[in-house]
Amino acid sequence: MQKSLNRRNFLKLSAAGAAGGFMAGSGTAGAIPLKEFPAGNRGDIMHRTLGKTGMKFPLVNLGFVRSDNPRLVNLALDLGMTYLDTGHGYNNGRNEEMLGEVLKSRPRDSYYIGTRSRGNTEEQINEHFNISLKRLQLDHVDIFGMHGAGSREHTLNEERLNAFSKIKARGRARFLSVSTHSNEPEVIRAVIESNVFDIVFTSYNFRMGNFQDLQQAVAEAAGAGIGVIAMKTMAGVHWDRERQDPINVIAALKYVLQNPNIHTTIPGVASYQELEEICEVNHDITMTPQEISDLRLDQAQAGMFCFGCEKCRPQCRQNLPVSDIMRSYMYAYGYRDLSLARSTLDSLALPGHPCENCKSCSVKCVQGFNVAEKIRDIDRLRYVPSDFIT
Amino acid sequence: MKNRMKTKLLRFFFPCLIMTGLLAQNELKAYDYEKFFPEVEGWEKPAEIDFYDPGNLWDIINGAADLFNAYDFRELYWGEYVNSADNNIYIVMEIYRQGGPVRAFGTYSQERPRVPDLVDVGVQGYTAPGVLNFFVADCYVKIRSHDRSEETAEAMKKMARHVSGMLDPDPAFPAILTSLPEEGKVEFSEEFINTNFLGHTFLSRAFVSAYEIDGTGFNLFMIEKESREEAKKMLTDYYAFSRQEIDDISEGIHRIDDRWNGEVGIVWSGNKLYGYYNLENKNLQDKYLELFSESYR
Repeated sequence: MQKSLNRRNFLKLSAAGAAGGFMAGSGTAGAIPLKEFPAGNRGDIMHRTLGKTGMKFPLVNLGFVRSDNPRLVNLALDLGMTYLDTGHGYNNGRNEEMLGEVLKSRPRDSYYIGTRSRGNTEEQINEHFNISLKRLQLDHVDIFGMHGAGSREHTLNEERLNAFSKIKARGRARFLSVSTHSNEPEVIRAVIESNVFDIVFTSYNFRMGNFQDLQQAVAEAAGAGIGVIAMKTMAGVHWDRERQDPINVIAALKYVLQNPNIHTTIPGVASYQELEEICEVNHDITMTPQEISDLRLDQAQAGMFCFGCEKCRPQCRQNLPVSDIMRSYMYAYGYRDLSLARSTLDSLALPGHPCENCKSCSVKCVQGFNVAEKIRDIDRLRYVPSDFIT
Repeated sequence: MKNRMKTKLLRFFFPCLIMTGLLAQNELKAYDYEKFFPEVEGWEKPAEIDFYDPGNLWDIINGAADLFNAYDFRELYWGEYVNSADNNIYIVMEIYRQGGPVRAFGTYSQERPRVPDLVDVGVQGYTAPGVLNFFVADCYVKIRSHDRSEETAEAMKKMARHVSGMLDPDPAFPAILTSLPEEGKVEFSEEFINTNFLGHTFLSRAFVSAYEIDGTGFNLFMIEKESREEAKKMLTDYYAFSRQEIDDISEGIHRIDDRWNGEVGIVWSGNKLYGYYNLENKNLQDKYLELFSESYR
C-alpha cells in the first residue's frame, strides 16, 4: 500500500494540507501532520507525533526487554529508537533497574522513557512512582501512567486522577497515560473524557474481536489530540494455543502501522535478530503480498486493504491513481477516518466523476477488488462539505 | 477479572495430562489442584480457581506472558482470597508450572531482587512489601496483596508454606545450579537463561552468575545440551554469527569475537560449554579458560 504513497504523493499531500487548511480541527489530521507519513521504501526513520504532546516518536520503539539483556537496549537506541517502555512491576523492578544502568551514560535529551503503576490509591501511586524514579536513576520521566485500566470507572477514579495530576503538576512526569488490555474502546473513550491523560497505550492487532470498534475509538482519541501507542501488535506471536504455528510478526507490526492513528508501537524484543528486523520497519512499512497473505486476514479485512501493487494503474483507461483511491477507501471504511480519506482524495486531483466515461471497468485487481464500485462509493466523500467531516 | 477466560480444568487439562503422560511426581495434578489453595482462618478461600495455559496466559498477565513462555510455561492456577472482615482486602496466589525445576528457577531468578529478603519457604523465596515469591519443584509461586498489614503478611506465609509442602516437602536446589565456581560469585546473581542467551537466538539453556574479583566484575556461564552434537552445533552457529573462519571445530578453548557482546571465551567439553563474558582482564580470561579446561570436563 505504501508504495502508492511515494515521495511525489507525499509532497502533494503535504502541499494540500498546507494550502487548503483542511486539517484544522479535524480528527487525525490535528494529531498527525501528513508530512510525517511514511514515504515507502527504505529511507530515513519515520516518525509520528503523539497528539498534543508534540513528542515525535519513531514508528517502532522498544517494549519489554529482559533484564539480562541490557545491550539490546543500547543497540535499540543506537539504531534510532528513542522511546523505552517499562513498568513499575516489570520483572519485579529489575527491568527499571536495568534501564537505569543503561541510561545513566546517555544524555537525558537523547531518549524518552515511560513507566506505569498499578497503584489503586494515591499513596500507592506515589510510592510506586518514587521507587521507579530511583530505579531509573532519573529525576523525571516523560510518560507516567495508570497500568491496566479495564473500564471507564477504573480510568476515571477520582483519587487516581488526582494522584496522577499532582505528579504531572510537580514536573516529575511530563505526560500522563493509561494502558489498557481489556475493554479497550471503553477505556480509550474514558481517556478522552478525563481531560487528564495525554496518551493511551492500547492492545491493538488484527486478531482482536473488537477490532472495528477499537479502530473507531483510536480514531476518536487521535482526533482529540491523544497520543496512541499500540501494544500486543504481534497478535500473540502464534496462531495456535500450542504455539507451534508462528505468526509473521513483522507483517503484523506493519499492518498495525498502516493505521495513521497509531502513533507508535512498542514490541517486546528478546534477541538481536528480532531487534534488527523490527528496526527495519522504522524505515519501511510497505507490506508485500506475501505479508498480507501471511496474516490470513478474513475476507472483510482483505477487501479493505490495498497493498499497492500498482498493477491497476496502466489498466485504467482514465489513468486514475487507483491504489491511492483504494487507500482513501480504507481510511474511510476501515479506519473510519473520514478526514484523512477526504484529504487523500483531495490531493489526487481527480476529475469530476472519475468513472463516468467508462461503461465497464478495465481494471482487474489482483486482490479481486471491485474497483469501480469502491471508487463510486468513496468518490461521494468529495462532495460532502468539509464542515461535516470530523 | 471478567475478561479472563475461565477454562474448566477437568474438561481440558485432565485429558491432556493423561495423553501426554505428565502425571509425574511433584507435578500439579488435575484432580487435586484445589488442595494447593488452603483454608486460612480469617480469609475466604477462592470461590473459583482460574486456569490458564500458554494460549491464553496473555489474558491475565499481558506482556509478562513472554517471560513465562520463554521458560516453557505449562499452566497457571490463579485464586483470590478475600479478607472475611473487610472484603476490600485480598490476597492473590498464582502458581505457575514451568517445564521442570530448572525452568521454574529460571523464571523466579528473572524477578528475584538483587538483594532479596529471604523467607524460609520452597527451595528459595523472598518477601517484599505486599509480595511473597518462591520456587519449588517445577513451580514458581507468586503471592501478593495490596495490603501491607502483618495479618495479611502472615496469611501469605501460611499459604506459601502450604503450597511448598504439598509440592515438595524436602526442597533442594537442582544440582546443576551449583556447577559454576564459587570463588568471587556475587550472591543471588545466579540465573538460568532458557532462550536468547546473550541476545542470540542460537544460544540457549545457560546457567549464569555474576562475579567480582579484585574489583573486576564479569560473568561466567555453563550451557548443557542434550548431546555433544548439539553443543557443537551451538558453537558452530556462534562462529558463523561472528564471521570467524574455522576449519574444524574441536573440543577445547574457543574465543568468539561477538560484535554485540565483546569477546566471549568458551571451553567446549562433550555436551557442555563453559565460558565467560563481560571480561576484559586477560589474566582472568586465561585463568577461567584453564580452569574450565582442566577441572570442568
